[in-house]
Amino acid sequence: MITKIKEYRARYSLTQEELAKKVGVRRETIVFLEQGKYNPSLRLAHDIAKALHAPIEDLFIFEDDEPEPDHRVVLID
Amino acid sequence: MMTRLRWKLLFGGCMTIAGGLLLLICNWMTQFRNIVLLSGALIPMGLMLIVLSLITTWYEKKADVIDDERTLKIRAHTYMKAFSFSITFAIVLSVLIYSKVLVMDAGSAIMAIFFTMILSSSLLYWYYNRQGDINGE
Repeated sequence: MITKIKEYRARYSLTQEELAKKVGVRRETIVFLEQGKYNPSLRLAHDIAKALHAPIEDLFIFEDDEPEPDHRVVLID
Repeated sequence: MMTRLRWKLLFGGCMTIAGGLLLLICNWMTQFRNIVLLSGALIPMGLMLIVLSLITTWYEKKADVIDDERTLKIRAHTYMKAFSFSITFAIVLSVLIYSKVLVMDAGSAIMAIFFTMILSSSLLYWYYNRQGDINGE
């Protein structure tokens, strides 16, 4: 799992400690989340997304996620 | 955090009181001399539990450490694994004792299982905490 928490945190000049306090977890949990070592619950993911004003799918990216299928219709003469 | 402290203090207090009571009973019932050993172990263990839990709580309060979903998940998984490991250890130990490969009395066997549980839970908690998650990638 890849997370963009660090990037979003930097955008809002938040430290790990501040983000941890905002979402009610330990600082180590934020560290492990940023390293992609911890899979958070939906509740925590939602709280972090809310604290960082970002959509969940932007913050957490799973490596085995398949790319979105291309549904565009191409018109051929 | 406070509920856990209360339980630890209660448990430690009960152990110390039980040790003290056993020591008193032992004076009346001279035929149970092993009680002295048991109470001699219970009192320091109970007192140690009280002191350690007070120190840990003071440190956690000072460092503003909270139990979050990650630590609770790790703790639950750790206890489950440590319990399964101890049960397996108890089965192996009983097989060894009944097949007379190992000579051990019941008290020592119970203590060995008890310490296996404590040691395995401590080691597993340290390992999972270091990994970050119970299925660390």
